[in-house]
Amino acid sequence: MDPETKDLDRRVAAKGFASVVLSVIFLVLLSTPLGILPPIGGLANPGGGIWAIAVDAEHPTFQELTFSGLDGTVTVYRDPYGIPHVFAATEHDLFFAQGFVHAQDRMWQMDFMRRVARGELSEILGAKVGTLDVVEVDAFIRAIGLPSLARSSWANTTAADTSYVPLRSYAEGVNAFLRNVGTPGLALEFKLLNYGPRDWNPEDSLAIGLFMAWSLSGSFEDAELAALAQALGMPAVDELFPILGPYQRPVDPRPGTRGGDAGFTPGIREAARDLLRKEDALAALTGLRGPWLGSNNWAVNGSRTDTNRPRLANDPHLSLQMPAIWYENQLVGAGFDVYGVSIPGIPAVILGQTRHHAWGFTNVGADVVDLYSETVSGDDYFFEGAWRPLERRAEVIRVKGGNPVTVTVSSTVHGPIITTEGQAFAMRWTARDAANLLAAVLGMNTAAMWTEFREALRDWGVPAQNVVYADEDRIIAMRSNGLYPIRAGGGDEGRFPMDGASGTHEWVGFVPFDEQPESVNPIEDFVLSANQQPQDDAYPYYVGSSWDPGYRARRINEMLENDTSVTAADLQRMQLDTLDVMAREFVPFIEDAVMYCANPPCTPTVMPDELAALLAWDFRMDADKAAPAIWWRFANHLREEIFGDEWEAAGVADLSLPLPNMMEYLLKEDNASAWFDDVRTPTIRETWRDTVVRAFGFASSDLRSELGPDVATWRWGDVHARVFPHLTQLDALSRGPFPSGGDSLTVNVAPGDLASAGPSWRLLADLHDPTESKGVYPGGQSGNPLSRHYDDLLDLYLAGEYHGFALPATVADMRPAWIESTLILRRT
Amino acid sequence: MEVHRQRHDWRTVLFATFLLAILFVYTGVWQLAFLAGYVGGFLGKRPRRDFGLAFLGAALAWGGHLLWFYLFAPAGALASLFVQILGLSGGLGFVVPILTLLIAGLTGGLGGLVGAYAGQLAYPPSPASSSSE
Repeated sequence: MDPETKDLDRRVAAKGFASVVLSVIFLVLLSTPLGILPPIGGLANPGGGIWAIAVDAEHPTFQELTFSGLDGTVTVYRDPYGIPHVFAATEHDLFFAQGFVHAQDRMWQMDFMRRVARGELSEILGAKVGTLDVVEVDAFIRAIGLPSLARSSWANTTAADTSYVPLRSYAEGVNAFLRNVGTPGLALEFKLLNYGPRDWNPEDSLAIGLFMAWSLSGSFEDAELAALAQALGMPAVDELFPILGPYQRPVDPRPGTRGGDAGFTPGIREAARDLLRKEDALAALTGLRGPWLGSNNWAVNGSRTDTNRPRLANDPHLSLQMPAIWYENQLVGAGFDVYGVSIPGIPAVILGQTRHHAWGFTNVGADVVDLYSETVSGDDYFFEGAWRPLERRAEVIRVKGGNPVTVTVSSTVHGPIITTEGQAFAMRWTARDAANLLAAVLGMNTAAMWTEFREALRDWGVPAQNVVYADEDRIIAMRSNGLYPIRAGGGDEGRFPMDGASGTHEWVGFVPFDEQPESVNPIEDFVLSANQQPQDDAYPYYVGSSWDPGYRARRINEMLENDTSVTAADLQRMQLDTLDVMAREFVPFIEDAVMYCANPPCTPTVMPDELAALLAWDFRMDADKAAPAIWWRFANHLREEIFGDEWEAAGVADLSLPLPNMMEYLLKEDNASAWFDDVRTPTIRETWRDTVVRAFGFASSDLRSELGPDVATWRWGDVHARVFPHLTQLDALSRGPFPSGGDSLTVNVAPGDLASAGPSWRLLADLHDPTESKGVYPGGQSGNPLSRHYDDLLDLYLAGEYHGFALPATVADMRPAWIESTLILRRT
Repeated sequence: MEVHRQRHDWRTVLFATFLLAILFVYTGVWQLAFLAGYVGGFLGKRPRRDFGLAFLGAALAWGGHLLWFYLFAPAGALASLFVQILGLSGGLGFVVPILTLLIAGLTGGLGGLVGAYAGQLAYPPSPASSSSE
């Protein structure tokens, strides 16, 4: 080679090297996450990046897929709302297909939920999200034991158990979907968070079920009540947080017990605050827990309906989110013919109807979590006169962008130690005794009559639910069903934290199934529940004290009592009702206080426009009225004015105030109560009227500064809305705010100024003709934000409308007009 | 004995990159657009020209997909949604396809550049076809 050529080669090599370096820098830059952004190169790729989301927005009109795991052929028709109707010949294929369609529409939500339930959020979110400590949230979930309970539950499930095939087949269906779509077909959230899902496992379904159970039954109220009792005195707690509250219409009118005092450990306040902080962090991170989770359900027998057959209504109040908690589907075959809503990630139908019966849930709110103060020294704890070794379990939490964190969960005979702030407390929860609820759900799906349905409920342990039932044979029923622990000490033991060392406060059994509150075809010919107390003073067992204030139950009761021929339209009107019973009870007191003077007749000296608006009001919390805004601001201020001063003086301003029905009780029965006095003004003794007027004044000044001086232009919907945040909290994927009526106490509930909880599923079941049943949930079937089914049901929901159910009994029954797309799954 | 290989003309470089980039899209591995450009450049062996041709070939390949998405899927809504997720106005959605084409072009183009140099080193241009670059 001549020198000139060599020189040319060197120059080419140098330029080539430079271009390689440039290329490597470019490729590495585009393959590396930039802050919160995933690698931009992968996102831009038309073959697997975000563009695939657009391609996958809708299901193909016809799709046929083959899988080796199937027994035969499964037909899935999706109707115009994207609701799948699944027809299969075997139980395996039915649940395989259900897992497949759930994954098609909601895979990311399923993955997120299992990560929440298994304490694995740090792996995709990193150690912190804003100020939230994600690792601590994961550690908390591991400490309360959801993943380990799910693991042991599946390990104890044998092929002979009714839930075995559905759980296993469902997981196979999800995994078949994952194999079928590969990485390119994954949902937008996977791409934004830059990860992919691992295979689905039956434990994942069980973990999600356990998380839902924790959401509805897990409570640290024991610790909070004890902290309040320590700060305010036991008489104050007994007065303001009674086991059975005033003005309640029990679910089942039978009696309870009132118990005695409890001893409190010095560290109870610190422990209560630590536990509540962890709970708040979990709620803030996931949006899946929070206050005011409640529900309504009722059934009316044929003697009081227009069809001569029962009607049933249910609206569980859970978090309003995108994608929605629920997923609508019909399952037909292998003994199933059931329609209703499922939780993505869990097989079968949780709430819904068959051609014979319908059912729905509200939460009981029973006391099924007990805290035991433990005497711990090193690796041992003291129990029944002896030191015993703590059971230790190491949990490794993987952290995105960081090193794994190992947390050690220590357990005593009572359960895991969940806080050591101030005092070590171990937690006993009924989920340890009933971790697999699926058998009960399957029984409810396939029952042929009330007695079979009732038998299925034996397997339903936690969360305790008020289960409403109605069937075409004119049976209506309500059962407050679940495991209610009986403690060795009797009375209301368990209401406060207990000494864990003595061994004298142990659980010695559960309220027998046949003695749980139950009402079948009562003389009123209707049953109802709205999270109010399940029974009255005569009931022999303590089952809890954390009841709804009862205003929704009172309203439903009066609407049902006044309607002797309930139509579908009546049920709908009742479910959408926004009359605030508390307002109706309180406005006369406001009028009295504001109009009060020494020499009647009096005229209002303050806030005449606000008072006039209230006095002209029909107590309906409608979005286009001014009075609801005045009322609701007043109600919140009144609670602060009555109790906030004492709470602040006792150093517990961050703990819960009494429920609104306690204010009603004080105003009506004890208006000279010292609670009306403001302890911050020791030389003045405020009366109830002073307190009411002051609260009214604060409400008025709040609204005048927010909405201007002209009361006539105020609208409740200007300060109150429903929101539907996406699970990632990304605004672009969320929906709302939408101006909304209702409040925390109306049947159509919308708590807070920005309601992110509320009716999560509305069912109006017709037991005369099941095809006339209707339902709706806020959101849509698809988790793909570009799909028309991402939020089409939300439009109906916000308009107060429902959709009818397509209920084909066979493949041939599916009318062409009901078919939007067809999916055939065949055996290879 | 030295092996010389004739340079291919611009059409070969462009089509090779274009066709390979189209095929590679279906693998889901975006970096393979670089390989598409590399092959084109290797055949062309004229770095500056081949950068441009590979840029164009890869951008056209991805652009063809995008055109399909815009015609038959809600790609416009997707672009708008994506910029909203980033906290920008949905009206800036047009930036997303432009950015996508730019990424495709640069990836393919850099591949073309490296490929051309590699081609020159592996198979030096025959004296008859040599020209300054």
